[in-house]
Order: sequence, then structure tokens, then C-alpha cells
Amino acid sequence: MKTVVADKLTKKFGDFTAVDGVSFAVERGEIYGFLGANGAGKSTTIRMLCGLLEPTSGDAQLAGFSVTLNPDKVKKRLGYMSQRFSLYGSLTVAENLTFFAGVYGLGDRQIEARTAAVLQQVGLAGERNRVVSVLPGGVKQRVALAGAIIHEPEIVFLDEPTAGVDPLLRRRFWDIIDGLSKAGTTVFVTTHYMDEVEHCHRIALMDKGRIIKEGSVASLKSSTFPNPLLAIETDDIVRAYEVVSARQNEIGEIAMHGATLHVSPFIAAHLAEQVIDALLREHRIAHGPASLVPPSMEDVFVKLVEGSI
Amino acid sequence: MNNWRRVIPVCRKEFLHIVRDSRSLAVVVLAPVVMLVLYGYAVTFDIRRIDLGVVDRDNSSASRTLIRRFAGSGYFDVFGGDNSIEKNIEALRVNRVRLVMVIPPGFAKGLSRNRDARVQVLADGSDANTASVALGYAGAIVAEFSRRVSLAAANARGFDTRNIPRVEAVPRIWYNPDLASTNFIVPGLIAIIMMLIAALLTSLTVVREKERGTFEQLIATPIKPLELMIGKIIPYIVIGMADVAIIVAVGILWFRVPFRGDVLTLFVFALLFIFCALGLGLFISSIAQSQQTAVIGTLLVTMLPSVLLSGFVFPIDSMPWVVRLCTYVVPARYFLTVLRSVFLKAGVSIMTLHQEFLFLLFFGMLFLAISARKFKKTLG
Repeated sequence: MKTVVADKLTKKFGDFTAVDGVSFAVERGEIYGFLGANGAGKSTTIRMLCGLLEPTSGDAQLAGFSVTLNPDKVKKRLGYMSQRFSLYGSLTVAENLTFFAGVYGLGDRQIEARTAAVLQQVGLAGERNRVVSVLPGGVKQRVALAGAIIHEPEIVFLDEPTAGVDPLLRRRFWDIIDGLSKAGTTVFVTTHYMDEVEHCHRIALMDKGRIIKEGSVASLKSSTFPNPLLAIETDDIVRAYEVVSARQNEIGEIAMHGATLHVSPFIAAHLAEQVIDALLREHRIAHGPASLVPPSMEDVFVKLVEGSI
Repeated sequence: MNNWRRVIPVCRKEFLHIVRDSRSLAVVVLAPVVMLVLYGYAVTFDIRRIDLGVVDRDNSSASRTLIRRFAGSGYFDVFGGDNSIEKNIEALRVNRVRLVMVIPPGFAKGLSRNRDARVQVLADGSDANTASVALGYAGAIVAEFSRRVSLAAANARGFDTRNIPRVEAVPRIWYNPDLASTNFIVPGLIAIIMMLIAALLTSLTVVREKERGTFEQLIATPIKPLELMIGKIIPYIVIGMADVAIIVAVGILWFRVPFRGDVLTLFVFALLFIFCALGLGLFISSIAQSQQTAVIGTLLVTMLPSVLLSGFVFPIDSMPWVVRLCTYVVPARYFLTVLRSVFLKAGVSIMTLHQEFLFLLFFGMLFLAISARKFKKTLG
């Protein structure tokens, strides 16, 4: 069952088109990721889906209701965690949750039960009476998530939920998101951390207000790079890159990946390997043997957004 | 469909904000008292001890009697400077005196020959209010002096002056027999101070959420603007009413303004007025883009109109009709009338003040409705 269907959503701010005719459909319980650079239109799309911004044109159906015609019905069924820190600093964790639960129309007994449940869910049961302003960033983010799911929404929108959170806590955060998805909640998430994208069932790559590619992580990788990449480790990656990319017309697309050269060859892999090996020897650049590696999401992103890896 | 249950969490949240921010709470409670005490002493319309310069060029028994009448009236302090006209005019110019009386040579001689005499009174018109009051006092003193001179002259001619008829106005001033200006300044100040404080209370509540980012979270929820506005206003009604109670107590206990009216009437009108002022603050908060704008806007919209167009200083009846029309949208106008009435007059009720009641109710509702309308539930 499709819970979110966007139909040519468009948002213009004056002459600037922030989101340009975006359409997609998301299944119930799916984790759907928006990947893109800052300003690609991810947040604007999410804000239109949540009814925070009115689309210039187009519409979206959430849980069967149109966001432009029935914003109130839609709002009841979704949870939103904004990019900006959006809790009341002078209130405690429990007071913040009680407030949002009340605003979503929950009764007192429900509020009590749900507060305990979501705090358990995000692993903050011990922090319920702490004032939010003194909590560390990672904890605040989890409280914000708890606030967004307090009313058991069908769809949750998370706008850069892990920005500025250390990697270990990001892992925990994603465990919570996986749990939500398994329980049948549809999760929309924007990020610019490539490694996080692997948690998404499907992703949409956004650039300049459009979705340029959509699909599962595996399908994006295989459709962008049908063959594995050649990886060659070198001592002097900058010179190696210069030397090899001077001949890229004969070999294939070249990219730097840390201290490793990634090559997506046009020609047979073993031929490309020979050419590169010869080139590097000629310029006396020490290098290891070439190996075949699967493409990473970063390779995919760079290739699709910048036109080459 | 409004769901009034959603008002309660908003109330509770705003109340927690207020309680947690004890410094602002202290300011909100103390500011009105400080303002009332300060301005209560500063603003007075009682004009007494006016500095008077005298040029006595006659220097006769009659001229000295006239000067004594001025000095003895309590309204004038005779400036014991030079007797020269130049020095006295200089004193008028540098604000050393407000009024100069010149008694010409031959003043007494003229009177003794049964001719009219004249004294010149020069007034400093740059402060027109004091000047006109001072001239009034001076005129009355001179008229009384003149009457005695006339009677003496009639006596001298052998008339029996005991039965000469005269008409006298017998004033009885009700409600404020001493015409003590404190008794109507303090109630007026209460209206003005509460207008400012109450509007400031709510002026930050919406715009603060915009600045801190919680606004975005709030509009993603199904709460309706009107529910939010009502939820935000209720805790401040409690604070505002507490402020009114404190400031009225200071007026009665410190300034000794009599309170003859009915506490319930005051309570009802205070509630309406606070509601009205909070609504105005909320409206400003919904349209302001930053907290600074909201504060400046509130000061502008509340202070000057409340002081100038409420009837606090200038009688509304004397204003041109266009301006008089403008006074109807100044909530302080109604509360000022109510306060002056309930403080000084016994037996006023909501029925006698029904016009004020209806106008305050109307503007309160109006402000609330337009704030809810202006509070757009979308960004950008």
C-alpha cells in the first residue's frame, strides 16, 4: 500500500525554483531517503509534504489525504522532526513530550503511557526529568525524535536527524529508525552522510530541485556502475591522479578515493590495469596491485551529480 | 473544528515558561509598581507656588496691600529680586519667574481720586497651561482687591455698604473635594501602565517561537491558530490580573487614593482590559519578524496613544472630531474612565459603564481573532 504519493510537487521562491516537479511513491513501512547536497531541495520537499509550505503547484497524498486540501487530517497522521533544534529548552524532557502529545490531542492517560513508551524506544527512560537545554546534542536529537513519534504517526519525516551527531550515536539513531520501520511506520529521512544511506530501503538522489535517480542502494550502484571498479593504492595519489586522468579517454573514468585511485574502465579490466600499471611505472609512482571493488554510494553520488566519478 | 482540549497543553507549557524564567517574572511584577510610584509623583496638575516677579513703581500703602494679597494667597511666591522692569523681564526670560506684575506710579493716587487703576500682568506663554492657570489666580486676587477698594470708596461717600447685593457661586466639589490631582492621575496611570505591561507580556510569545525554531514544530501539529492563541493568553491573564491587584493596592495604600466603588466591577473590567491588551500584544507578536520589532512595535502602539488619546491628560471632548474618533480604538480610554469612576464614585456598576464594557469586549475579541488570522500556519 502506498502511504505517500507525491505528484509533480513544485515550490518556487520568486524566480528561484527550489523543488521542480518532484514525483514519487512510498510504501508503508519503507525507509525512504532523500540524498543530496545542501540546497538540493530535500528540506523544501519535506516541508511541503508536512504542510509547512504550500506547494506552488502539484500535490501529495499522505495516508490517503491530500496535503493541500486536507492538511489537518494529514498533520494528525505524521510526525516531523525539523532540521533546527525544536524543543522548548526551559522544559524537561517529559514536559516537552507531554506538550506535544497534548497538542496532538492525546488524553492524559494516553500521554502518560506514550511518554514512557517513546522514552523507552529512544533509550532515554532515565532522562525524563532533565531540563532539555542542558542535554548534549545527541540526546536532544533523540528527544526530538521521541516528540515526533509520541502520537504514533503513520509517517515520520526526519530532516537531517543525525547532523552533528557522533558516529556511534548515529548508529543508535538508525537502530531506532529500523525499529519504527519494522513496526510499520513509514520513515522519510534526508541526509548527506553517504554511509547512512545504506540503511534506507530506497533513496532518491536530489539535485537542483529534481530527483535525478531513485531506487534501492543496490540497484543504484549496479545501474550506475555495471562493472566493479578498479582500485589501485598509491603513495602519491595526487600525481597518480594527474598522470592517469591525462589518459582517461583511453581508460575510463577516474576518481580519488582517499589514497586509492578508483577507475571505472571502458575497456576490459585487465587491459585497463596494464595501461595504468605501465603509466605509473613510467612516472615512478609507487603503487600496489589493482583490485576489483564494488562501487560505494559516494561513487554513485559523485558520478550522478557531477556527471563523472 | 476546534478541539478545546488542545488549549490546555499550550496553557501548561506557557505557564512553565513563565515560572522557569523567574527573572522576567520579577520584572513583570515589579515594573508596574516602580512605574506607578515614579510617575505618580512626577505627574501632577496642581499648580501652586508660582514664581511671581513684582515691579512696584508706586510704592504706596495700596500697592503693598495688593502684593501682600498675592503673597498670602498660597498660589504665588513673590520673587524678592530687583524692582526694575528690566531685571524682572530678564527673570521671566530665564524661567526664574512665570508672571510679572507691574504696578504703575500713581496707582494709589488714582484710586484715592476715584479713578480706575490698572496693574499690568506679564505671563510666560511658553508654558501655556501654567500661564493660564496663573492668570486665573491673579485675576481673582485682583478682583477681590478691587471689590474691597470699591466698597471702601462707597463707604467714604456715606453709603451703607452692608446691604449691597452680590452674587456668589457656591461650589461643592463632589468625589474629589480637594481637587487633588493624585486622585485622578493614579487611576489613569494604572490604565496606561497596565496597557503597556500586558501588551509586552504577550508581544514576545509567538515571535520567540519563530526565532527559536519551535514554531516550525508547532505548525507541523494539528493545532489551530485560535487554540494556540487562547492557550497562550490564559496564563498571562493570571499574571496581568495579579499585576492589576498589586498596582491598585499601591494606589490605595501608598498614594491614599480613596476606593469607593465596587471590587467586583473593578475585577470584571480589569479582566476585560487585560484580555484586550494581551490580545493586542499577541497580534503584534504574530506579525513581527523579530523580538526587537515586537517590543518596539508594542511600545509605539501602546504608550503614546494611551497617554495622549485616552483622556489621561487632554479631555477627549475638546479634541477635533477626527481625533475623537481615533480615541475609540485606544483601549486605555475605556479602562481609564472605569478606574476613575470606581476609585472615586460609589455605586458605579457594569450597567452604568455598559458602553466601556461593550467596547472592551469587542476590541478584545477583535484582537484575538485577527492575531489568529495573521498567525499563518505555514512558513515563508
